[in-house]
Amino acid sequence: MSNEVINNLKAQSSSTKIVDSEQHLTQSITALPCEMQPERDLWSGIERAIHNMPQQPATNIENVSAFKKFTSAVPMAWAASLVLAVMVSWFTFAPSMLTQPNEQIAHRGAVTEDLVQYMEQNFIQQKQAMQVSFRQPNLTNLPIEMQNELTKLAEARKTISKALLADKHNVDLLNLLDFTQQQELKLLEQLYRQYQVI
Amino acid sequence: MNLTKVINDPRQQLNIADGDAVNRGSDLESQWVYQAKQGSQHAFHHLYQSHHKRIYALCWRMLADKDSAEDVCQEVFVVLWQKITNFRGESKFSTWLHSVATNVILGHLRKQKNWLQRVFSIEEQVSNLVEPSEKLTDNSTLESLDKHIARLPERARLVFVLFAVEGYRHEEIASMLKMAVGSSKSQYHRARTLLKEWLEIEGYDAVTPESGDA
Repeated sequence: MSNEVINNLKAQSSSTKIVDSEQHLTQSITALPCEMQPERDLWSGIERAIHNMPQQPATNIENVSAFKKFTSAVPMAWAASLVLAVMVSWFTFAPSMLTQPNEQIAHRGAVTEDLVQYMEQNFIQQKQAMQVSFRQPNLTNLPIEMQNELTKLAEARKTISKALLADKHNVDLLNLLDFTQQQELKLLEQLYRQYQVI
Repeated sequence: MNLTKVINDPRQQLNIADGDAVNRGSDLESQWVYQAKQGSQHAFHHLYQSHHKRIYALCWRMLADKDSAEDVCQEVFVVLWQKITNFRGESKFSTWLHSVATNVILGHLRKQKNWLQRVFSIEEQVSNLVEPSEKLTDNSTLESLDKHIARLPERARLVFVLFAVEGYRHEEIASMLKMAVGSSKSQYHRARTLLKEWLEIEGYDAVTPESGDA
């Protein structure tokens, strides 16, 4: 038998083997059992774990991404906490600004007061528009920790506004108010999106 | 007809001529889901009975360890209890449950201290050297392919189970495992090549004694 014939036979045998192994694997996959029986009873442990364990409030997001979205809200909560931390630092360590001439202070104070009012109105309008677009969600259906973060953030915003009325020339406080308003809007939007339930 | 069994095995569902029975089974499950969402542990137990073997099989195949599979299977149902209110019936309950289970399993793997080690394949080199009998507590009841799946390197095993057994697309797997789509495909190819080799050797070993006798 010539070498060529032998090589052809080898090649045929090899390709047949590949097809066989492919088929064998495919058949094995199809034949895999859908179920396996755990050795120990798992229910008793589950029953103990879920006893008195609250279920999450229903959302309209039907898969595990709800959980991911929930966890993604946590950084926003941290942002809220950061605002508070910045505020505490500010009110503790901010230098006194009362060394400037009275006229300058009065003028800049009037401008700032207008600006604060404008910012507050703008913030309320944005918040209302958002609530309307999300069909007036009921915030009491949110998880307690999220409600707490929102409350803290709203209180922080109010405190900054009050501080600005007493210290009208303070540009840093103005920036802090703007930052706080934006954080509150972002957190609200994120929560509304994932708990449209509400 | 045992409705629980029908619900358990979709292959049986396909073979059943009595479509009403399937509908009744599905209705029954919908009722259990509804009641479980209302806080009924009794209904939740029915759901557990219907699905825990399939979820355990998924856990076992992805984790390749009996004890971890049992623990994670329990975790899946605890998470399910918390999140079942999110199920709105837009997909099949079993499909939704499997996606919950897959996420819990992957979360479990990520939480493990040696996750980085696992990802960066140090473990993979060791894995190939470990015989299935050493790796598994009890493999006597396992199908041949399952024994080999357990031998696969972790990433190849996860991709193979998710693609070939669970029916996910490579894009979804890549997203779940935080890898490139191409990596998912190459890991799948790697898994198939290894499995084919091992099945071939197994077939050869099974035939050899008879050949010797003859």
